[in-house]
Order: sequence, then structure tokens, then C-alpha cells
Amino acid sequence: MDYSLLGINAAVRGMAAAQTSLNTMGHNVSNANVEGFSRQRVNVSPASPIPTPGFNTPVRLASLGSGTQINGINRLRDEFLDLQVRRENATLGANEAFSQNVTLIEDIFHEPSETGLSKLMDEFFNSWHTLTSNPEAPGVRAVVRDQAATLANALNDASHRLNTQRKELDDQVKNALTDINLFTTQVAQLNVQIAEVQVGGGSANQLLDQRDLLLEKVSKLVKLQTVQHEDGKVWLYLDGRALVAGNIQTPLEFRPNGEGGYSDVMFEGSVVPQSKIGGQVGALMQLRDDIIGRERFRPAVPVLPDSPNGILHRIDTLANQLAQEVNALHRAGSLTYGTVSGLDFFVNRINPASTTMGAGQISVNPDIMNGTAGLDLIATGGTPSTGPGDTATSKAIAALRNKATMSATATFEDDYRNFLASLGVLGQSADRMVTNQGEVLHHLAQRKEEVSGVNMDEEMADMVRYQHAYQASARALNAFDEILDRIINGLGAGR
Amino acid sequence: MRITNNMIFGATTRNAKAHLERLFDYQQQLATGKKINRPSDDPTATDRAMLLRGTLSQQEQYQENIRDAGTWLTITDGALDEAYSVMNRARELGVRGANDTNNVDERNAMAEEVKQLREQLQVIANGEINGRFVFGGTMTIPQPTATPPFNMPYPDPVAPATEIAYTGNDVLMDVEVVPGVTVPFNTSGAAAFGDPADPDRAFKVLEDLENVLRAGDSTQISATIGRLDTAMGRVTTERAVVGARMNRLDLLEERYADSAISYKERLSETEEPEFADVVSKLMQQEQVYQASLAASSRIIQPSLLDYLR
Repeated sequence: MDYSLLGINAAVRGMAAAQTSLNTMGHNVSNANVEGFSRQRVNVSPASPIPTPGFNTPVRLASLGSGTQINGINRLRDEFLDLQVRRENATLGANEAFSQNVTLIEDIFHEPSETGLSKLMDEFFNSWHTLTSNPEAPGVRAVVRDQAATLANALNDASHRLNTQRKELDDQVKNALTDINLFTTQVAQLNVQIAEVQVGGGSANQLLDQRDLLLEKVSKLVKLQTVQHEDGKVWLYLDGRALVAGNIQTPLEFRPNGEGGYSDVMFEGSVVPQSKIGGQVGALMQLRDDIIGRERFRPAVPVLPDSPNGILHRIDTLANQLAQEVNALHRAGSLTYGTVSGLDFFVNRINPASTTMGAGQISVNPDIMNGTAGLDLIATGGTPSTGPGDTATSKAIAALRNKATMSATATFEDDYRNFLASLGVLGQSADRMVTNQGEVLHHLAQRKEEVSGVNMDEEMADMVRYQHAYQASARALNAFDEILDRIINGLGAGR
Repeated sequence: MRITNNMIFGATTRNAKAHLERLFDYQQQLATGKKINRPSDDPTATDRAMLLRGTLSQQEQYQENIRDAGTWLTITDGALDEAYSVMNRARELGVRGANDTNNVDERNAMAEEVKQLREQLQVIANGEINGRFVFGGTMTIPQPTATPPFNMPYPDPVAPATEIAYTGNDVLMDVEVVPGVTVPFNTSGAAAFGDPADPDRAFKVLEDLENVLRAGDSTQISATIGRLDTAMGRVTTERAVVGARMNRLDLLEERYADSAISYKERLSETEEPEFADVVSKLMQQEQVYQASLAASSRIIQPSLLDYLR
């Protein structure tokens, strides 16, 4: 025998399931363009059947379906893809930082062009050649002096702009750390909420989406390790340091590192080594400390290790070597009427007592810069001088251009070209990595989108489907209504 | 593969961006006339471009040096030519004076002319280029207390002719014309007109010739003419040296002019885009860009919504 009232229940459940699916679909469509959103599906299954004994057997033979049952609303997401994205993101972040900043450094040097430092070095040496042909002409002396001052200014300017950029990199790291701390705080809060929801058996879809989005952002800034725990909480590590341990967030701090005005990343009071940070922050710090590096002849602040391959160190070495070579020749040279010069051509403009000078400090001796009288102080002759036409010194200074002064084989310009080439290679490989890594991440994002993204057509089709399902269930209810109507109003003695 | 709306929109913007980037690159190349704007565009080409530009700049300076030295040599050559003519005229007078048929007045007139010639030779020997003595060695300009290289109290009609002292030196001045190679460009007065210790120095010989002409001893005159030949021989030798240096510089100058052309060609190959090539790539890219936009516009618009009732 049958229980007629049971069908009503099944129909109502069908309507409820269809309505919930329609709601979820509306939710998907309205969130289709929200960053990090995963589409959701109502997880339904047939409700437990009701055992029905047969007429002749007491045994439960048949089971009667009792409609559908909503188990939950799931988000469609492939956790493995998230993991891959987080892993690849750090490399992309690092190379984006390299690529952008190397471009800025290249702009400082503005090569190859007719206006870069190499041109100014050419002009400087050329002016000494011209002086060799006309050692007595004050006009030519003025050209030598002006070219030297232009070269010194250009070196000063390059040094200043590189230092400014280091300062900007420092600020960028500071901002990135602020972001990371904000994100990890949010992750810790979300951990608490997600665990609460999941303990109660609920599904914390939105919260999970939010947390995944945060993890993706942090993973671009630093090299992040994530561990998913059973209780729904995720722990975040930076080289073994727990940034988020369940509910607890520990901030990264930015503390002065002893080099005036610059800071290091600290965790619980100890420095996080730059090589362990990775991601965008690691790259920014590497640019600041290794690629641009510190000045070689900086004022005496608590000393930090030098970065001999840093650009600042290299142009400082170049400027200093140029000053030393020119000065040695110039000091020993003679003036027009045979007086031995004894005067340095280049001096340290910040600390005149110092005989060494980097790109930031080099300048033409103010005595030589001093008007017409200063022009007479430019030494052209050898010592002892044979006469005003003696050009041993100016010739020797002009010949420095082709002399291996920077190493056993490298001239000034060779050295300058070499470091620009290595800068170029760095920039080029970073550009390529950004492109390649961008492709990898684009591909992963595509696959994520394939799983989690919203397709309007699909949702529309579903809408039609659930609308029909709803209508059909309603129709079934109608049929039961008619049956009951017949039973209650159409049958019996009461008529 | 499941396609979502975000994927379509994403691909549309991504492709448009990629196409635009390439278009921008070509446009940039055409606008600036350069295919490398920064070292990371092509580190190898940057290095080569800088090397070529440096070499060119250095060569231009060497050409400048050669021209400066050339001016000096040309003027020296002219002065030596003139000096030779002056001495040759004195020699003619000497040859004529050696003939016993001349009377005292005639010989005195000849002696007077020789004296004038010697003063003329002094003017030549004191010649300048842009205020620099040509034959002074490195004594190119007067020291505050010094005198021209071939000094004489001049003019001095009363006192007997005094020997002209050479106050210059015989240091050769040179310029670099190839890295590490220098070419001297001056001729010292001592080489052209005789060392002060040399009995056959030009000014001494002319002075002696003047004196023996006045004395009228034809044997002595002949002997002096012989010494004059030695002095003239010295000028001829120096002219040959000057000529050889000029030839050497001319050859170098030609070589630099040739190599400058090929260096410039290589520089433009390294730095400049192939115009026709870039234009055709630009056109191609433009079409691809438009096609992709057109395709996107067709794919973005329709949705199932358009067809449901």
C-alpha cells in the first residue's frame, strides 16, 4: 500500500532544491567578475528512501524514494592549481621587480646614445688630444676644463640618481611589508572564522575564496610556504618562520640596518637573510643591496659589507681610478713655463682632504676652475719641461683612454661597457622571465578559470533547467492536491 | 576545455595588449630610428654600438690631430722652401763675387745684399703659426724673460753683424695618430739651420760670406760657397723629412676616412632598424591587431540570453 501524503513531501523537497539551485546560480552570475570568486554548486542527493513492506511479506522489499535532499553548497576549486600558482608567483614577482627597476637604472646611463657617459669620457680624452696639439692656447685649455667638469657632473648625477633609486627601493620594500602584514593578519582572522564554520559542519565558501586570494597576493611578495591543517586553518611560513600559525599572526618588521637610512626585514627580533625572502621583496632588496649596492667611498657610517659587483661600487671604482691616473700624471707635469704643477686635477668635493673619490665626489680642482688664472694651472708639459710646447703630460693623459687601467686588459671605457652589458643581460633575462613566467601563470590561471570561473551560458541553461524542475515539482504537488481533494471532498458518506 | 566569460574577456584584453605592445615597438623603432634604446634590448648590440661609437670618436680625434700636424708641416715646408731660395740667392751672389772682374763697390753691394738675405733668413727662422714659433722646438712661445729662437738685435745698422744665437731647442713635438703611435711634426731650428756649435751653420756662413765679399778674396769666397752648399744641403734634407711625414699623415688620413665609412655603416646596422622591414612588419601587425579586435567583437556580444525567448 502507498502513503499518498509522502509524495507531497517529495515534491516540496524538489521545489526547495530547484529554488536553492536558482539562488546559487544567481549568486554565481552576480559574482562572475569578482576577483578570486569560485562558482558554487548545490550538492544534492536523493533523500533516504522509506522502506515499504509488501502485502505478503513483512520483510522490507521495496524502498520508496522520498525526494531530494540538499547536502550543502560547494565551491568548485582545484586546490592543487592554487598551490602551483602560489609557487610560481614568487618567481614572477621577483622578475617583475628586476625588469622594472633595471629599466630605471638603464635610463640613468642612457646608453647607447650620443649623450651618455661614454660619450663624455670620449670628449674628455679628445680635449686632452686637442690640448696636445695646441698647448699654449687658453681657449683649448678652457675646453679641457669644461669637458672634465661636464664628465664629473655626469658622474655625480649618476651616483645621485642611483642613490635615490636605492632609497625608493627601500620604500617599496617597506610598503610591501605593510601589505604582507595586513594580508597575514586577515588570513589569521579568516582561519578563525573558517574553522568555526567548518566545525559546525557548514561550508565557508566565501571565506575560503577570500583566503585563497590573500595567499595568492602574499605569495607574489615573498616566497611563501603554506600548510593546510585538518581544522581548516592554513599556516604560512617564510623560510621556516611562521607568519601565520593558526590564529596567531606574527608581523615582519623593517628595522634600520646600520647603513644610515636603510632597513632590513626582521622576524621576531632577528634579521631574515635577503636570500631567503624571495618574491618581489627579495628582488627589491637584492636590487638595493647587490645590484645597485652601496657606494664605495661613502662617509664613515657603521660599515656594512661592500657589494663589489654593485653598480655604485663599479662607477665609484671607475671614477676613482680615472681621478688617480689623471692626478698622478697631472701632479708630476709642468705648467707652460716649466713650473712643476704638484696639483691634483680631480679632487673629492665632499671631503677635500681625501685623495680617493667615488662618482658622487669627483670634481675638477676648484683652483683650476677658478677663472682665467685657473687655466694656467692645467699641466701640459713633462718634467723637466723643455718649453711651453712640451706636451708630455697632456699626451699621457690623452693616452690613458687606451691604457689598461681598470684591469690587466680593460680600459676605462671597456670597464664601463662591461658593466652596462651585464646590467643589460640582467634586464633582458628578467624581461624574458617575466614573459615566460607570465605565460606559466596565465596558463594556470586559465586552468583555474576552467574549474572555478562562471560561464554565463551555462548558468542561463541551468536557470532554464531549474525553472523547469521547479515547475515540474509544483505540478506534482498539484496532482497530489487533486488526489487529496478527491479523497477528502469527493468520497465518503458526508455527501 | 571549459570556456568561461572571464576567459574570453581576459583573452581579448590580453591579446589586444600584446598586439599593441608590438605595434608600439615598431612605431618606436620608426620614430626614433633606433632598434636598441637600452642595453637590455640587446646587450651584445649595445656593447658593439658603444665600442663602435667610441672608436669613431677616437678616430675623429686622430684625424683632428693629423690635420693639426699637417698644418704645421705645410707651413714648415713653405718656410724651408723660402729659406732655400734665400740661401740660393746668396750663393749666386757669392759665385758672382768670386769672379775677380768685380770692383769694390760691386762687391760691397753684393755683401750688403747678403746681409739683407741673412736678415730675411732670420725672419723666416723666426716664423710663427698662431703665435707659436715654427723652428723653436718646444720653445714655442716667448718665455716671459726670453727671446725668439733666432735672436739678433735687429735692425742694428751701426754695429757690425753679430752672430745670431739660437734660443730654441731640438725637442721634437709629436701627436698621437694611432693608439700608441706618435708622429713628430716640427723641425728644430738647429736641424734646419745648423747647430750653434757647427761651423757651417747657415747664419754663420752667410755672415762669413758677407765679410769675405767685402774683403774680395776669391779663394775665400769659393771656400765659403762650399760651406753654404753644406748649409743648403741641410735645408734640403729637412724638407725631405717634412715631405715624408706629410705623406705618412696623408696615408693615415685616407685610411681613417675609409674606415670611418665602414664603422659608421656597422654602427647603423647595429643600431638602426631596417626601414622597409619594420614598415612591413608594422603593417602586418596592424592587420593582426584589427583581425583580433574584429574576432573579439563578434565573440563578446552574443550570449544564450539573446536566444532565450
